Amino acid sequence: MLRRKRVKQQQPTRGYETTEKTIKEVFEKAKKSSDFSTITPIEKDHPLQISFYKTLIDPNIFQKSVLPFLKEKASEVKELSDLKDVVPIDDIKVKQDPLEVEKALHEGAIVLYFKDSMKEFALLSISHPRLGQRETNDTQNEFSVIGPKVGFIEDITTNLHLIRDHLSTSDLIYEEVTIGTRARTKVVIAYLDGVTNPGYVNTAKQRLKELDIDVSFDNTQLEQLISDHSSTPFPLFITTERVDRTVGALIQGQVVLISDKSSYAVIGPAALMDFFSNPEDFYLPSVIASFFKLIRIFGMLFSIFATPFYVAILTFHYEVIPRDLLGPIINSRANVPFPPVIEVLFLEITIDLLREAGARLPTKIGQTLGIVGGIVIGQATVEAALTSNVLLIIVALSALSSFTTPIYKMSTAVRLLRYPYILFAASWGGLGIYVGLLFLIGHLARLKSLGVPFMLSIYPYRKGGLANSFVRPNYAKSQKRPWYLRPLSVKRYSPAADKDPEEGLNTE
Amino acid sequence: MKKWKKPLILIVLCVCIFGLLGCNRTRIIDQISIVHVFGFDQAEDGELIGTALVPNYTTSKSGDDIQFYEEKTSTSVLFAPKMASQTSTPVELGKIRVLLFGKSYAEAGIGEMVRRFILNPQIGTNIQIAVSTESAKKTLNALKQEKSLTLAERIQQNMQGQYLPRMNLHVFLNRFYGEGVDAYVPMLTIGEQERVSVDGIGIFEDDHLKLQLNPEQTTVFSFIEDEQTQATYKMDLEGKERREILAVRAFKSKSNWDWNSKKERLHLGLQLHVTLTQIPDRYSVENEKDVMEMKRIVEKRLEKEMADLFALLKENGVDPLGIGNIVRSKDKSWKETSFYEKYPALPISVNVDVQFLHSGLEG
Repeated sequence: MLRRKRVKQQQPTRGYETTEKTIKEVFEKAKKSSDFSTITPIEKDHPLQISFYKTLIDPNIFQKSVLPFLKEKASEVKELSDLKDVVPIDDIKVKQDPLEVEKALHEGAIVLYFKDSMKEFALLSISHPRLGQRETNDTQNEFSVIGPKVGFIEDITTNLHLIRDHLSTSDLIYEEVTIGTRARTKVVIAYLDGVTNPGYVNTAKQRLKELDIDVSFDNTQLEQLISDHSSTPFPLFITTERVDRTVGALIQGQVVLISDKSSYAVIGPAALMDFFSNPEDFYLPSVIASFFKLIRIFGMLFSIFATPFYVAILTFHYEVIPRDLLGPIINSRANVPFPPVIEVLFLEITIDLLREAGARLPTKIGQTLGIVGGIVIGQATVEAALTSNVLLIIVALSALSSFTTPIYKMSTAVRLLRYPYILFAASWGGLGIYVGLLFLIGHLARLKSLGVPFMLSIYPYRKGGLANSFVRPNYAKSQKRPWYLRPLSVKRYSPAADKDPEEGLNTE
Repeated sequence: MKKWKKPLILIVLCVCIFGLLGCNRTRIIDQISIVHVFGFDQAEDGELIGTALVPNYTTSKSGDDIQFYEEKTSTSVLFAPKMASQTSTPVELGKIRVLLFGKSYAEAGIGEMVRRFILNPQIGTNIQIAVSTESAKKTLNALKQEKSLTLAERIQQNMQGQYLPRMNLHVFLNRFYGEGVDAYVPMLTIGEQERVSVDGIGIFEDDHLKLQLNPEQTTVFSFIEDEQTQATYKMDLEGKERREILAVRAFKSKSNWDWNSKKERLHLGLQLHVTLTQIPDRYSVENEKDVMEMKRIVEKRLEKEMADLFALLKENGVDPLGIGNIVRSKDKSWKETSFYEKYPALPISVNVDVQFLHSGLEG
């Protein structure tokens, strides 16, 4: 009721920056920064001037390819368009719009102009985008034993190069969108023309274009801004730093977003079971890869449900414990003064504290922390009768199995999920876990990624996709893209028939 | 109002959760007394005596610290509440492994106890039910002296590898309430050195114990009743110089019942696969003639033993083999009362076919 009385504020129109600027204002504002410099290359009274941000241009090109030629032939330059004959740089534009001049300055261009006219401006792009960037990334966060280890870095041109280098086809389309009213980050939507459903591309493009944000720091933030449900703990897009995973997604007909200053590619539409698949699956034989994929899915389930079931069984359902286990469990719990739920919450929060502290510390101190956490705290809590031995093992195992999920964002979601289940188990026992499961399934079934159901091929059921969600099919049998992702072309390849001779060298 | 809808639902949900939580009764595992074996006896004044073994796991991991509780009540419902007056934690019946009846109580009839106590959803049905030749109280005390919680395993092991026919509470209840079949349970006795041991089976007629079979009779009974029995059957042969022993161990058995409705005769064809575990010295397994002779001896002896067993069962009017059921499956007009009137005079013929699988590899 109170809210209604509040006077509706005037919604500000799009764009918080001053849109109309004169060229004078542009230069005055830039001159406030100490890294902005304006020089006269030839002699004091020559009207030709150069302005640029020292921190954005490549000084080598400026010294070797711009200044010498200007000094030599400056007298020949009567109009700005003559510069093309003087300076050996292909990216020379002559513009008049002050806004474009400002934008070019920020992208690492030098501006040449005659100070007496100030009407036309020549923009020479000699930017140095890799300044301060690391050279390579060896996919430390998504490590695989075999397979390529090249990952993305925080520079968009490098990342786009990596993808196009890997996927040399003219069907690979990059569409560029600029987001962020203040930072003006470049975001590239990549897709395969003739494969990816244009619906996904249009959805992604529309969301990015209508996105109103001042600064987007990283792709992982961008992913949340354009996600279909903003209040879910589950990631609705796959964020990966692996080039092979990104290329694989493009081939499957998914859309990939790459943004500047971010070492993560965002893949959508994503399905729940995709998060448990790993590029390494495709480098191992399908039987072994399927086994490991099932192990990961089991690990996810175990990680969520192990401690809730401990709480439920020890609080309500002593009947289901085998007789031989009754002794060890009761005996180890005999001195613990808390009910199982407090005991479990204590240890789970300890583990999460350790994990968070380990993630915030430098690697070398982190090792010490591991010892402190694993041995000292673990042993001491049992001896101080704060938790039982059996629980220590279960919590350690479930923490271990939560790290098997390859995508970090999903792994954290899995870690969080157990807490509501522990509370449910403490209040209603096994029934509580069941009720929680209903909530979880209901929530998952509602989720969508770029408009596509998140649980796709399990719910809504899609023929042919269910088995592939749990195992990695043989290459001879996975010659088609999943039809339920609605790619424009379904067939990927057609394996040749076996042409080995019936009799011969290899029939022995 | 629309903006408040979601938080409102959440608040209502939380209130419901914590409201229901407040009414909840927890059974935290180290704060309950878990009954392991429960025994029933009849007191002399007609009241019931319930006895229970409760292992105290909080003091010992293997559970050899066993508490013995005894309570005398007029009705079985009061066992747990009255026992709780002696314990510091509530008595829980959900993990009972063996239900034990004293012989005198079993002979007087256990029908009421089955209806009032055993048909209780708390108590599982994959547990053992047994009758002890002594009183249940005495047997439980012997178990307490042994400091062992292995009574259920002791019975199960004898069913899987030895001469007892397979039985658990689930099957017992089916037979107890079923038509044309009588229930049987393993018998326990206190043997040498005060150890509780298995001693044949006891057969119920309706709800009271009628007949007890000794181990030899139980072995023969198992051959007919239990397809996977591994009972060892020993027979003494009259040798020339000294007593000779022929022993076989069953591997599998198949009984084919054949009802001749015109003559009202029943025929049992029993196929028995056995291993020879001990043979007299004068026989050789390499000699086919000897093997045939041994086969004939075993078959003859078993046929005779079975005829004796049927005679014993008919004489006592009990039907643990479910002969009534077998006839009912062949005869539409079967009536329980009229069948069991004629049951003691029912002619049953037996034909045993023994196959030797191998010899000399075991015991």
